[in-house]
Amino acid sequence: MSSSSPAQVLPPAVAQLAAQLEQATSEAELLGVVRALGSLGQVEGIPLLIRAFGFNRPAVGEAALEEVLRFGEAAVQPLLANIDGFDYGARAYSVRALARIGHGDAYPLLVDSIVADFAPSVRRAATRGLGRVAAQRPLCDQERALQLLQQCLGDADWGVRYAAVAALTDLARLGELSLRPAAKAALQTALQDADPLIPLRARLSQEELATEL
Amino acid sequence: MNGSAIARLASNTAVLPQQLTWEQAIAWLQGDDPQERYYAAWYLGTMRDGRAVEPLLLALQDERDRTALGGYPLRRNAAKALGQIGDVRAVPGLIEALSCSDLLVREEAAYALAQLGDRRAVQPLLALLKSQEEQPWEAFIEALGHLNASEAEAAIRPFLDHPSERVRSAAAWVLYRFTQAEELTQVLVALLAHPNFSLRQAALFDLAESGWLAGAPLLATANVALNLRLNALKRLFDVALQLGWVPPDQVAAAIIPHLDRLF
Repeated sequence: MSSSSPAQVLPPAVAQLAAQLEQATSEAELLGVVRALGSLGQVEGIPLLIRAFGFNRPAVGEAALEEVLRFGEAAVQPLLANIDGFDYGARAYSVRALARIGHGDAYPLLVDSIVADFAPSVRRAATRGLGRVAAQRPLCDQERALQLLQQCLGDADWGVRYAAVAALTDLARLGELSLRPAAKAALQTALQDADPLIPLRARLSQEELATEL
Repeated sequence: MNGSAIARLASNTAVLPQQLTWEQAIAWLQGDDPQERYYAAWYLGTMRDGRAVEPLLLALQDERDRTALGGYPLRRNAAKALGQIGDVRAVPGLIEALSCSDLLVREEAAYALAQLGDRRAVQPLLALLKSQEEQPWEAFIEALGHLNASEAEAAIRPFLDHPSERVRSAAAWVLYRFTQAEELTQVLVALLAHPNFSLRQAALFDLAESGWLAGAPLLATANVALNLRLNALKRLFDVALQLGWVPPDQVAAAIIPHLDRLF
């Protein structure tokens, strides 16, 4: 991973926190460094926060996610360049961050993750973000996203179906006007889901859209 | 995403189980290769075909596949598969397996009986709960919970003081389902903050199993991997809906805001 490359020259404050991150052993120390990296606000620190996604400590991963999100769109390229191909837990955090930032550049990664990733946590996160991210892309990508989200409504994992309902809501709200009827029709099909959670969630979406649009 | 990231993603694919036809699976189960028999027993569980019940009941009495310590691996998988298939013809055989010398067979048999949901298992489980020898207590208590055997309340209550956290946790969720006594939730809440990760995870799902809807915020914020918290919230939703203590709209209102924040 590029963040651990010794050839990379880091600003002194980031380098110091990088060293502290290496030496930290307790959860409290790790959290301290993660928060400091966020407060420092230097983009060179983002790869370190992304590394903290892979420490296999939920509290640290979540804090790192919050801090990455503070950088907004400046985090998109570091996130895309540092996707962890081996640790799906870490990858899920990166995809979650990209899903929440909602920048169009994440579109190819989200589509690939939905289609090809084996880890449910990654597929759920990617599905959740696809509506928001696709809304920033040209119409043809939005159409592809709509199609993919319709397929996701038939996924075996309830979490992917739930995420698809939320993403279709985003697409109806933020995407091209011409797609809105199809997105709403997809939500209507979610009312037929045999798992009672999915229709309940879809009905909430329909109510939200009815008052907003 | 750059090229190397795609290559790394592509290398990270799950290993798919070997596909067998029903005839092949039965042939493997009845063959001589211990590994093939073991695999076939598991595989037949995933196929959920009632024709496998009788061959699996025979496997549940197998004497050939034994570990150095005297365990019966094939029996364990056969019990598990019989639970998944869901055919109540397996109930008498599984009740018999509750007394197998292999504790892991007893455990799988108890969970399988819970899955079958047949009340004939209640009295045998209740009798074993009073036994003096070592038993898979957690499995027996949870099976009685899933079977809604509220007549087991008095027999389960002493396990709230058991030295094992997992046994105490199982007793707490089962007794909460029977009594809805608020103090039982405190056992689960305390365990959810345990320094040991795997105990926190067990408490997460035991809390979901209890049906205690007010515990949803604790599930959402527990120090456990996010995906597990999502799954636990979903399980609490399913359990609360099934128990029917509150109407579905209130269950949804208690769970969906947390799911939406975590997704």
